Amino acid sequence: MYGHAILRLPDSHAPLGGRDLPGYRRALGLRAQTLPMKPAPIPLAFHGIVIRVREPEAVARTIRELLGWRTLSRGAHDIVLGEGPELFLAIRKTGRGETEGVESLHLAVERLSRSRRRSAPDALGGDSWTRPLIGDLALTVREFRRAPGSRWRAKRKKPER
Amino acid sequence: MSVARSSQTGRRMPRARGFGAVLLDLDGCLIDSNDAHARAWSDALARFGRTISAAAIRIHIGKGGAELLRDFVTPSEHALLATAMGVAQTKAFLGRFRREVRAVPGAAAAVRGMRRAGIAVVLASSAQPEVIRTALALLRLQGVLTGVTSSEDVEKTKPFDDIFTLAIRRFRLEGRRPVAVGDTPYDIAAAHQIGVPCMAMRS
Repeated sequence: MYGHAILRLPDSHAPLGGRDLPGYRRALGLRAQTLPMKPAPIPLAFHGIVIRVREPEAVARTIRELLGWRTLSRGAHDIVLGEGPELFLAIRKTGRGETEGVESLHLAVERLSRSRRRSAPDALGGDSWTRPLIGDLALTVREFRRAPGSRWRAKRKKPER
Repeated sequence: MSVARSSQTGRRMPRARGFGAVLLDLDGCLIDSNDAHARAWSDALARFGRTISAAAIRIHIGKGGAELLRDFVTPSEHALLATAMGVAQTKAFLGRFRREVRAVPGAAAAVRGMRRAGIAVVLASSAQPEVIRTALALLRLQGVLTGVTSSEDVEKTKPFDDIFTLAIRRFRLEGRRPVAVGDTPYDIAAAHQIGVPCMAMRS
């Protein structure tokens, strides 16, 4: 509970009638001020995932066959499949000493500034920050704010209605 | 006939019969900007990978950006990228503004005339605040209008009625028999939903 709700009693509480009772609060040592809302960005969706594999090409081929996703971009060490910045799977080749697994999760949000972490513009057209979660798994939180870089632009058809 | 005194000339002027307030659209009514908006949307969508001609977008101009995009992007793109697409469109539109946008002849004078006649004139537009500021500077109407609303004031833009409803409530126009003035079916639809008569202009 946040805000005024924490200092109010429910109507079902018969002896006190559910009313705001300063004396009751005093007796419990509660301060007569409301608690602020917890500031947090508004989550929209997980929109991207980065995985680390030994053979990116083979995994990309499987994903293309299973899901029909297109190749957004292809680099020396990675392949990005998906629709665009709003939905992607990046497949990165494992480096020396690295194991296969999920490298990072990408969460799209609104009101990123509420998180009070320093964000930076990124190539997907968003402002984002990244922090490690467990082991070498990282979370990237992003608010889309502008057009993406050319690497993230795929030619698209008009959506079917 | 009721009269109002002109603030500039001091002359007694006949008050317009029937309507005491006007909910005025910006694009297509005060400035000739609909084609520039369509081209700016085409530019913006191209930056997100969608090739859509300005001609295909033109008939949707008049809707707010978020509503317009529903016809051109998938739901997931809309949920995540609509804001970014809107920002790209505003940037593209403002880049075209000086070259392509002109004031509708006589429109600013008509607004001043209505204000002199004691009619409340509220700019009830779905445009972004930055676009409205730029347009009002072109028209030299800063300080003339009774008030302004923009897309940032409401969650749903035209063809929903929220902009008109907000304008009526915020500027207390309920008792003044407001009339909407617009140039698109979306202005008419928004006015119709709340029973406000709408005068349609051709743009």
